[in-house]
Amino acid sequence: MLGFLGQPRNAGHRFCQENLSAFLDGELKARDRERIRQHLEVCEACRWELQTLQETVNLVRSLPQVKAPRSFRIPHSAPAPSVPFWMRPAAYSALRVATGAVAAALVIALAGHAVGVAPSPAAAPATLMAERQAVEVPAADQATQGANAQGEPALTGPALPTEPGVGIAAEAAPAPTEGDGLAAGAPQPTLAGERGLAEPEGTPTGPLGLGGGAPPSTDTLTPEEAIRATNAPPGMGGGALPTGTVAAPKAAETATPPPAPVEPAAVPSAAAEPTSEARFAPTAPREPHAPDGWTAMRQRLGVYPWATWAAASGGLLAVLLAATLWLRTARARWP
Amino acid sequence: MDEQALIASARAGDPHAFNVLVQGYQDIAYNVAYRVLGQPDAAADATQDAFLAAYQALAAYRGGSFKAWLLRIVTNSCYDQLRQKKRRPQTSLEDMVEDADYAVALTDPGESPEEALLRQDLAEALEAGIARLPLDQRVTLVLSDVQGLSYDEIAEATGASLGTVKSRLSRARSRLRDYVVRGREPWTP
Repeated sequence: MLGFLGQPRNAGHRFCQENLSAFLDGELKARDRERIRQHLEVCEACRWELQTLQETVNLVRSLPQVKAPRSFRIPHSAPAPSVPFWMRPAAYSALRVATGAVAAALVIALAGHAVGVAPSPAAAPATLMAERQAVEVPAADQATQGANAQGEPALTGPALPTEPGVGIAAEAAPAPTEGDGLAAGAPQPTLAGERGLAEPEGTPTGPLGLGGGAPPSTDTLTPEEAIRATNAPPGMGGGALPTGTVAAPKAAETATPPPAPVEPAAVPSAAAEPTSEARFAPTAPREPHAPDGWTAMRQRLGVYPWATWAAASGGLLAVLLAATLWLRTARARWP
Repeated sequence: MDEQALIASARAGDPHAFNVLVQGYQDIAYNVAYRVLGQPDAAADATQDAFLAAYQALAAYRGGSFKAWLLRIVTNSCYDQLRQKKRRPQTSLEDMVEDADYAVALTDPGESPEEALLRQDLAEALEAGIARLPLDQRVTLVLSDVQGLSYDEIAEATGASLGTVKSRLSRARSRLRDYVVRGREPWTP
């Protein structure tokens, strides 16, 4: 109940205990010195404390000065005084600016990731499915277009491949030779023409036209598919057309989609289960499905641009922060 | 030549001028290193490193107490030595204190054997107590009570605030007093 009465004395005692050392050295202000003197008059414990501290200080001060055992002169070859580059203000400023820039980049990457502008690792399965569909649908479309193209006078068909095997369907399909199937990259008209001329008319090459992709050899097809393929009208085999430039509108009609004829084209490509390499390999420019800049960048950066960007800038930020910490420590130690 | 002129010459790259400064301060520097490290070889290494570092860093010296500036480099050098010792422990801190060179350094030919023994015992007890202090407190105690630096100079030499210097010194003296009063019992902070 009367505890508050003892409070000033306790506070004075604590103050005295904490400041006796400075009191000994004369490092206190006059007011604090006077406060301690007054407390010492009434506190025996603090008087003992003061006396023993004074004796300890006297003992330490009585320790003899140890002489240097040898000369510590520096050699004349010692490098001249200089301020290291990391101690110059410009170095610290540059580090701060770089840290700020990378931090901003990290924030942008995280924001982009959060907003969902780009696919995230969490959404990877969905992304991969979308990628797969994007791969397969063009293959089917191409097959259809390839078949249609045979009926068109100009035989424009799908875009011409600029390099072998760049077409996704071409890689996915078990095509023994490039360019046999129209969808496998649609051979150039002249090549198709030559091939068509070289092959006997009426040769059951229906699968070539149907396949849209590479011609599935019979040993890769199921018996049912093989029968269906060999029974296909010769006119459907675009590649088997003698001239390759002559278009029979009727043949085009015949070859046009009914889903069933197109199936064999999809079967080889789907059955071959495109490799990840094939899935993300840069594709030949296909007019209807030419990837825009964003898709191309995504493919180049590997599907997760924001995550990649965030990881890279996060790592760089960690390095810069470590460098800043080291520099601050070094500057603090610098005399 | 006065100190400031020597410093100016040394800053311009004159090692002779700096060596004159070394001659004037090497005992103080070595003494601080010895009291902090407690081992002659380590103290000599720290002192040599400190003078080389001080010569290099003279370009950054902006006036003030040269002694405090130099002792800051010496204490930093002591920290480096202790870090190296931690990485490659060879002798304990106890062994350092009871080194044979230490006893020789304390011998005063003018006193009686009994007085010398008592003084040596006391000095050893003090050294053992100082060696047990936390490093920051040890450095502060050595700079204050062995070298006689003011609080301001200690603050400059250690890079600490005045309040920190005051509290470190107070705790160091109290702990050392407790150690001496209790004898050589293992001291637990």
